[in-house]
Amino acid sequence: MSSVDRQVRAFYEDQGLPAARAQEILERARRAKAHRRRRLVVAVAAALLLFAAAAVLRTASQARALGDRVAAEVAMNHKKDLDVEIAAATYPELGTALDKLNFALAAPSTKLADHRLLGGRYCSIQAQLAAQLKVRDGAGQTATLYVTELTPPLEGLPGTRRQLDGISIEVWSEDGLLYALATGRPTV
Amino acid sequence: MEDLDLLQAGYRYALSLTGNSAEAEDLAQQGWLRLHERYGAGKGRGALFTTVRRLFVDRYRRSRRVELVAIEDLQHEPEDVAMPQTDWVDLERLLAGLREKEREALYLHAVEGYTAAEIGDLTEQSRGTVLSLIYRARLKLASGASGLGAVAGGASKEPPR
Repeated sequence: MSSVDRQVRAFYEDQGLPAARAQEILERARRAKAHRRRRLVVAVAAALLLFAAAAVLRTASQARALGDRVAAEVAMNHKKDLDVEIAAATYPELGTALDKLNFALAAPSTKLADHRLLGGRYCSIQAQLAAQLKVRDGAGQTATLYVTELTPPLEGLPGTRRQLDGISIEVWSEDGLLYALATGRPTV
Repeated sequence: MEDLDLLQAGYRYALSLTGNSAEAEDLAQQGWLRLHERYGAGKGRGALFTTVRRLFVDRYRRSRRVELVAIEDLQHEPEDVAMPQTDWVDLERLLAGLREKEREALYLHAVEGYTAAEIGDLTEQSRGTVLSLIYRARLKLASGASGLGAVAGGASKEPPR
């Protein structure tokens, strides 16, 4: 006589999947695992790409919004057509007079070669101290040039040209300074 | 434990659940793939048994009639029962005649060495119920084997090796 448990154990221990079938199942699991890993890599890459695209779009959107605010501020100041407080014919001369500026006032090297400086005053752009200059071109047309230091968040501002209330506004940067030129309509 | 050994253990457990080698093969494969799909490699016997059991409940029991049998809980570990030596073919038939729960409980206890409490955790039954299932299974197998012996004139058959 033998015990039930011993015979049952012997019976089951003698059972098993055929070797070929067992290897097939193990191989299927390995292939499925490799497939899942590939899918995971693709999903992570797609997520990163999406994240990067969203970040780029967000940055571009923020820069565009900042550009809109600067343009609106420049146009508003230009429309006031305030007189110069300090008359000066050269940028160094005016820079010396506007001694509260925390940057060296310099003429833009790429534009306004045909404009003559009349003078300037203090102003601000996006709460940052700036110089508001009045210049006149060869045809006698006056324009307002704003100059401020290129610090955050203004340094993220892309060069732009736009029209606002009949005023043409061009924004660009040179040598660590942000320039904004407003021409057109006002001067009542 | 090697993957192959673990897979074979899963198959034997599936066999104890289904009582049928073809269904057990299918169940073991599904359980193995499901386990690796959910957890990857490195999971042990307990996780595989749980996965196989859930698949079995989902796939097989729903399609079968629910067997309502009152089971009296036992409080003490039942003694193993003496049984005439029975060959594999007869033993397989006797095992197939057990209720699924009895076969499963006996397998986990006699083959895997699980305690009644551990079986209760896996199968969501009380320890007393598990002890009762094991006891009933032993009695049924011993009684069935004795009957076979009587029919065969008491000749004891050695299991094939």
